Amino acid sequence: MASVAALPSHGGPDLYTPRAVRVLEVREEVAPNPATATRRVVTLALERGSLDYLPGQFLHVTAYGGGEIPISISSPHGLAGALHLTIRAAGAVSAMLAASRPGDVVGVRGPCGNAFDLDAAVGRDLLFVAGGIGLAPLRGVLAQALLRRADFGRIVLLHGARCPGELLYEWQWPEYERQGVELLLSADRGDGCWERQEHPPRCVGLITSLFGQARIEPERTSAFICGPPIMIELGGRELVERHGVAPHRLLTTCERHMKCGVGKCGHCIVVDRYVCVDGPVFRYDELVALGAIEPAW
Amino acid sequence: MADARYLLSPEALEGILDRFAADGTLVGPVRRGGDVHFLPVARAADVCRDYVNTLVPPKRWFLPTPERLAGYRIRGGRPEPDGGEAAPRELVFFGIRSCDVAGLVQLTRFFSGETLGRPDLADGPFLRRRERATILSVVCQRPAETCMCVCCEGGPALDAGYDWQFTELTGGWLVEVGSERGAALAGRFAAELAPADGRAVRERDERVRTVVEEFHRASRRRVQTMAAGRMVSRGRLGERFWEDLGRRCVECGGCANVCPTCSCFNVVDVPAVGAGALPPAGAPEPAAPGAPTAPGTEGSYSRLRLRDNCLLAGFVRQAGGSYPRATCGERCRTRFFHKLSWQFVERVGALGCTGCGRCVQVCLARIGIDVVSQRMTDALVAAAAPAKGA
Repeated sequence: MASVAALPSHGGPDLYTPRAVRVLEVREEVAPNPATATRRVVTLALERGSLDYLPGQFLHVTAYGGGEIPISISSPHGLAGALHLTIRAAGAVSAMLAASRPGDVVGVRGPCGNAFDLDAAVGRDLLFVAGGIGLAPLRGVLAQALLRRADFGRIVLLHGARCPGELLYEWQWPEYERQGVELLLSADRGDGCWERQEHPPRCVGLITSLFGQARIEPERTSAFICGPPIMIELGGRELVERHGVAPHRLLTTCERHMKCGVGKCGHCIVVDRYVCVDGPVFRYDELVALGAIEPAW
Repeated sequence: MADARYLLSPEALEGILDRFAADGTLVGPVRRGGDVHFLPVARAADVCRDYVNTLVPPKRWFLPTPERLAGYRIRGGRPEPDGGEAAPRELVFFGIRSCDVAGLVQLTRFFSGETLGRPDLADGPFLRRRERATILSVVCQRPAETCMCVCCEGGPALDAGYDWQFTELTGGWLVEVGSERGAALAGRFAAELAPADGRAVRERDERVRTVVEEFHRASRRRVQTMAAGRMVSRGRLGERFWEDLGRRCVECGGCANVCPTCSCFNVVDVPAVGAGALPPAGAPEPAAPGAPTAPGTEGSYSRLRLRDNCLLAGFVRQAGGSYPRATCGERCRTRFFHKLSWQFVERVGALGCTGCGRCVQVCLARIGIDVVSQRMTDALVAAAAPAKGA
């Protein structure tokens, strides 16, 4: 993780006041499907202005007149152009945000939290394991890695979801592959058609069933894993225990309900950590240690 | 001088309180019905003198609920900032007990960002109130049956955290100055204050010692800190322990509501007009009663801070379906871990309990911190004892 002092942060008299920014573009990533209980997922491209951040950090995003929720930033930092937030319409406020149209105005506070430390992985292979919308926070750090592609060895992205329709950023897969990302897909259930296609390589089953195909060389691998809690628990354990990835080289993010994003409201506490300030990025071994008191996933 | 000590006659204290009351800045313990509350005081004579402590701690003066944190107006689909917050008034709190001063010290460190090492994330609304508050605390000499400050460095007297600390002596008051603000106040009332002699200081120390000794001799209640802290900090209290506690807890949240160190809150955006109107049938659950469930249209909105509570079922439930502490027992674990664990003592610099005993008074299931910390201690003893038949 990057040290806190080096991170962009916000505070001061307007700690709880959002800044209004325009929605430039809305892309539907996942169409809602009642048959599979699939919620709509959209990516909002927002005016970036002077806002800078590091991958892994998140914003508190206001649907004006509705409320505020934390959302991971899913675009790389330091670039001109838009800031991307990928939002699943899961609750009241996220549904309002997911219904945004270009030209609408949303509020942002932040950036909040710590970040993925990509510098510590220079010269190593990068393994990204993303379950469902867990790819959103990893997309920023993946993009960051691709901006300095020569600094890293192999870059492998394992992306799985409950069903093929919930896989994210399909439009970007060709670009990833062009830049040398080895992409492997999984879906817990197929749809009769998806699993018959050959490219990108895929399997029906849990995302952990891709680990064998990923040709992981543990001593030179830094891994990033994001997704539902059960996936982080089982996936993390399997990467460490069966595939030999060093626990301190496995970074993950902890997702918690939060109201302030600035270490005050108390909602995101896990054991003695405030996910909004001490996280959301944690090392796997840290979370295992916390698990003696309370499961972090 | 910040550590000066003075003597004050009872008449002079009345005069000082009357001057604060006349300024409209005095807040003190006032009896309402059968309970005592911190309320604005118009005349010194209204200040309750025979109280032990207030029903709720004075934290609500620093973290009022609801509290407007920000506001905006939507006009033509565009949000505009709406109204700055009025600066809080200067207030003088007389009669705060040491346990609550200790709680306020913790809250101040926490909201200033110091506890988490993030002064850049200081909470303006809290700090503005705190900076404009003068704390005149009074050392307890008649503790309640539920008082346990002696266990928790929460009293009966403190070394810091107050501007003035009063101790009632035979025929007058000893005033200890604890801050620059207190020193300035001593300058303002120099005519009423006489330097304290050694005899007065000895009498104060003797009175404090008597309270401590009486507690150890006669009180049945303790906040167990050593053994309990060891068990909770190392995760040695198994699931059964927390399940049992969870079965007894009725999730009223009373303990956290009256706790001088609990400060968890919720934030909701509510329309300035029409708040509280019932949502239409079939509308999604609002985030809080009165909170909107559809994007706002034209009008003014307030971002409100509302007191929240880690024991309540919705505290950590997520919209995506994830529910980290789904059982009441798990939520009890979170609360008592925060109160008693070494990890939080390390982070906060103090125990999360100041021993005020309010959770003992309000708990409907009689699982106040005395009972729970004793159970933790018993669990350690049970774990250490040889198994039956061995």
